[in-house]
Amino acid sequence: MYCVIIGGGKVGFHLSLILQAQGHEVTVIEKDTAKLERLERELGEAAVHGDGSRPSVLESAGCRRADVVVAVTGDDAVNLLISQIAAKIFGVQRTMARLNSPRNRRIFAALGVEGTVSSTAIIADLIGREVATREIHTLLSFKSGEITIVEIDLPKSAPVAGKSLRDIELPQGALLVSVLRGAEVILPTGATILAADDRLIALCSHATEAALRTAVLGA
Amino acid sequence: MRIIVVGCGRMGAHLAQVLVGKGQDVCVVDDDPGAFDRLRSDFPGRIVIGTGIDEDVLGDAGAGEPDTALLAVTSDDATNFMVGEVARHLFGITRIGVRINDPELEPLIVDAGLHPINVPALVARHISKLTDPDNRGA
Repeated sequence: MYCVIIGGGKVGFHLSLILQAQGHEVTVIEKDTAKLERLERELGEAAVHGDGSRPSVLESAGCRRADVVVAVTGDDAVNLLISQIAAKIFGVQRTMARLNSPRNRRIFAALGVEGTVSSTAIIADLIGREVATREIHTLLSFKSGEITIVEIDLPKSAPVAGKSLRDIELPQGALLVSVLRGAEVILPTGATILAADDRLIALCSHATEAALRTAVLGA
Repeated sequence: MRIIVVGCGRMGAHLAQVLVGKGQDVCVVDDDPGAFDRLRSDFPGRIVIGTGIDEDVLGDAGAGEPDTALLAVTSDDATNFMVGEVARHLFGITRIGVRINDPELEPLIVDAGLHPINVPALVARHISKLTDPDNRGA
């Protein structure tokens, strides 16, 4: 699949890593040159500089042949505009957008923008259910929250700290995508040894989130 | 007819003054309370403080009332487009002008059933008239 992602912040960056790890071709468009430098370091040629809300920029990023366009900037109006350019000008079949404010949900739905994800609503929902979310954060979720990308900060007490991945049993349906250690991004293999203060990025289904938490952070 | 003007920058404020001068019922929306200082102190229209992309804010401005037109003229193209789409899809307004500073967006605005106010193109057309031999001295 060819995926074009607009917005190379935290969400866009991790989403790119995940999609690349799954073997998809990815282009990330970012207009801020400071953010772009980091993206280029980690993603190489997949990172492109430009204003993704301009049709010409989307076109040169190959939007016409994209299977999916995902707009994940911090500005809902920009995300909506991009999704409409992709769908109506370039005929992209699947357009997804990040919803920063749950208040905007109705217009996104009215325009048929798929998989709108409001991290604000998800976090509010978690807090509402009084779930301990201190070390685990939802970065993005798909299919109305069924599949989520989570970020886990490993405390010193974590049972997995000091263990190699091949010795750690993760629940079925959870996939560790990357390990962030200081400025370093590690694409994990079985030999990767986790350490305290690592930040783990994982993909999991909503149903396995609790099991993943227990496996990584302990009961 | 009621006209909602979203964005009280230099263009929005000027536009609102012109419209009330023509006897129109005008409501101006801007999320910056200080923006309304651009209106004359005797401005007879209404003002609503809030972001025009918000359904409730447009509702307060009278978007749900019959015979309403809307002009989205903030300096941000994406905001104007979203305001236009909210007005069209959530309130059923049919006369909607959307200011764009990027001419590339015009086809999308037209496709969405909105009326583009393509500022660079309009200004360029106006200026080019100055060099038109038929208009010399105009």
